[in-house]
Amino acid sequence: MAMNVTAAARKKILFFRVLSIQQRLPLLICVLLLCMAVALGWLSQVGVKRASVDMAKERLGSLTAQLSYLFGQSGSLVLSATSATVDNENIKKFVNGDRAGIVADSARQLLDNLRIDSTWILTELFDARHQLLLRSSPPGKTTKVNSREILSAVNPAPHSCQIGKLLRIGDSIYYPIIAAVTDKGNVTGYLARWRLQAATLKAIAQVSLLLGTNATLYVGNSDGSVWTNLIGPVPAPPVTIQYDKQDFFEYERQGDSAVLASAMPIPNAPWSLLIEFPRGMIMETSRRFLHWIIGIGAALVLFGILLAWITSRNITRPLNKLTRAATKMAAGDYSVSVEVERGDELGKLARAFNAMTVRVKNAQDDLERKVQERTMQLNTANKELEGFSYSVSHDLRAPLRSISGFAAILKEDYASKLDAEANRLADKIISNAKKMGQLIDDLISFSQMSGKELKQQPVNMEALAKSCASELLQHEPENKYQLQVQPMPVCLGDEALLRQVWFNLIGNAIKYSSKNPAPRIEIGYKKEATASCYFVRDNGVGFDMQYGHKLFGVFQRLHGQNEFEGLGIGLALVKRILNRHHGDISVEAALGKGAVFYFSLPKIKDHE
Amino acid sequence: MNNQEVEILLVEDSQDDAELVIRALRKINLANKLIHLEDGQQALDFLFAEGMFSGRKLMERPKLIVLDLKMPRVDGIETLKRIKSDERTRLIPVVMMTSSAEEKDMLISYQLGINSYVVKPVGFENFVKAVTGLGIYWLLVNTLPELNDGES
Repeated sequence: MAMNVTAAARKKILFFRVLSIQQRLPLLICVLLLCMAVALGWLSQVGVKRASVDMAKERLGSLTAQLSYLFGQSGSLVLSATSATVDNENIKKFVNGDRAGIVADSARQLLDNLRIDSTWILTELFDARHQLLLRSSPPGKTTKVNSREILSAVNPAPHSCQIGKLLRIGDSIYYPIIAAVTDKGNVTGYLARWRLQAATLKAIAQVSLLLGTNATLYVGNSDGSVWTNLIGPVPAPPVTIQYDKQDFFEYERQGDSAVLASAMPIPNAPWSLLIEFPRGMIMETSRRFLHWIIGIGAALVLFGILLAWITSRNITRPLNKLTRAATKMAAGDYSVSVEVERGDELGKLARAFNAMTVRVKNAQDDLERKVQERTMQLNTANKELEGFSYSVSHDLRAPLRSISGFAAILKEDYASKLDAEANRLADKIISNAKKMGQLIDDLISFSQMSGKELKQQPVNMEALAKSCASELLQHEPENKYQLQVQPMPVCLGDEALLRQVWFNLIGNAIKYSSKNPAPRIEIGYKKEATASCYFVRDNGVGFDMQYGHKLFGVFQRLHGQNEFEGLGIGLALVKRILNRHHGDISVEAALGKGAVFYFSLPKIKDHE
Repeated sequence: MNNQEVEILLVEDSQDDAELVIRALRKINLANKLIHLEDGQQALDFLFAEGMFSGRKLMERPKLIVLDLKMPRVDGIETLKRIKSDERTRLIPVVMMTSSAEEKDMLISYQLGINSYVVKPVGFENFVKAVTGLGIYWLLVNTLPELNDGES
């Protein structure tokens, strides 16, 4: 597993390395800018969000405070009007039992006056024992409100005047105002007013103007029992409102929309006031800000990539030019040079490259000139050598022919006049002239070896060795030599020259084993790592290995002329041929135990 | 020298070699109608009846020309070229007999239309064999078309 991880990581790094510099720089800058844009965008987004929420909270707070104050003010006006009525002498007298006509009329009038508009649905006056004394209500309307229940629940103190809790009856919401009629410190009766909690359209418009369109105002009992949006009853908000201070809440309203809300108790009433702002509205600013940030960030990244692309192109273009020039130069075109139009590091590099090109070109030209000179010298030398061998072959042979020719004529024409010794001497002249002719021939073929071009082709070595052996053995008595030729692979070389190699080596083997009563010649092949190695083994006279190094020199012989015929040029020729084939020759021998000549040729790739 | 009936024209700068050739041919009786000249210029003068041979009849052509390769003044190759490029002498068999076994000499000789190229053996025995063989073949075995006089 860990292996896989490191392999994957290495692969990633490799992938990055495979990219050209021109791609790498923009990629890097793109990643950098993206990181920066995301980080900055996130940070400022968070900041803007917090600021929006703070601003919204401030606004909510001030709105709730203002509205709660306004509600409180209006409540206090209602209360003071109610207090004034309760403190009226005629009301007190009426409660105390003085129900004279004037007092009763006045009290009735006062109660009617408290029903200022249609929202005030009922005013009732009770005695201390909660017995209804007087009632004022719009004609023809019945209400389901019950003042006595409230009176029992509240049990107002002397001089008290208070607004009661909101009460829901059907789809309407009402609230009572209860005041105690006090005479000389004792509660002598009660006044109860009921009002429908319903804002007029005008009032709603005013409130929404104050709040803004998206905000919603709610009023409810502080204990959470009844809530209204001033039009009808609504579900209570999922919050617990503290009675003595302003509070902020965040919750979800009506299933999906999150809201930010502020609640505050209303003075002079057991009510609280709640204003809700949809969160979406608050976040609108930050969302818009986010869009801007994304737009600007994207533009910045694109601009950055473009800039980086141009910059890296500016760097890589001259580099590419240099690379092309260097490639051309590597391919052997030394005439290249790079345009230099800049003074920066790349310009310096280009200038250095140009200087190098010039130097390399000069060196190359110099070398070529030298090679040409040498080749010419070599050709001249070769021509001279050719001329030399030509004149040797022609001019040296002519007198030799004359020597042997005239000696022969002497013998032929004056045979009767010459004695035996003279005849022997004439023979010596003839045979020496012949030997010298042979020497000249060998020397010429040896010297011509280096001048000849090799005609390389696949050569069947086994067939070649067999044909040489049979040609050499045709003058020997049949069955004298035991010949063994092993299978041998094909090799690459000049067939005529390789034939010469076999011819000389097999010829030597025959010659030097001729004095063995059972001469045996073995021709074979030995596999080697880098070369094909062939050998010729005989059981002839052999030689002492301490003279082995002399064997391959021109005119070097290890045996006397009277022992074995030969001029001492055959093995030198063989060595030269093999060297020209990038091969070599070596020998293993012991005096009286025969010799093995090994020669190696470079392997053909197709064969093994 | 009898200029009238020449069968073999031997062009050889070496007196010794010429003597050996003539001796070998004499042994088989082919040296009677032989003329020996010492270089190519003399040979050409003889063939085209110029210079010292200006009185000679052109009609009488040798049956065989034996050329050496290396000679003073005009060498064997040049002589061969002139012989083979002239209508009058083109059909005469020419044998190059030389010490040179050089490939390029052989090549240019055959390119110029030599009829035979013989490398002189160094040993006298072989030399005699080669010369006699050559004489017998070209003078006795080989047959030639009627040598009509190309000159009008």
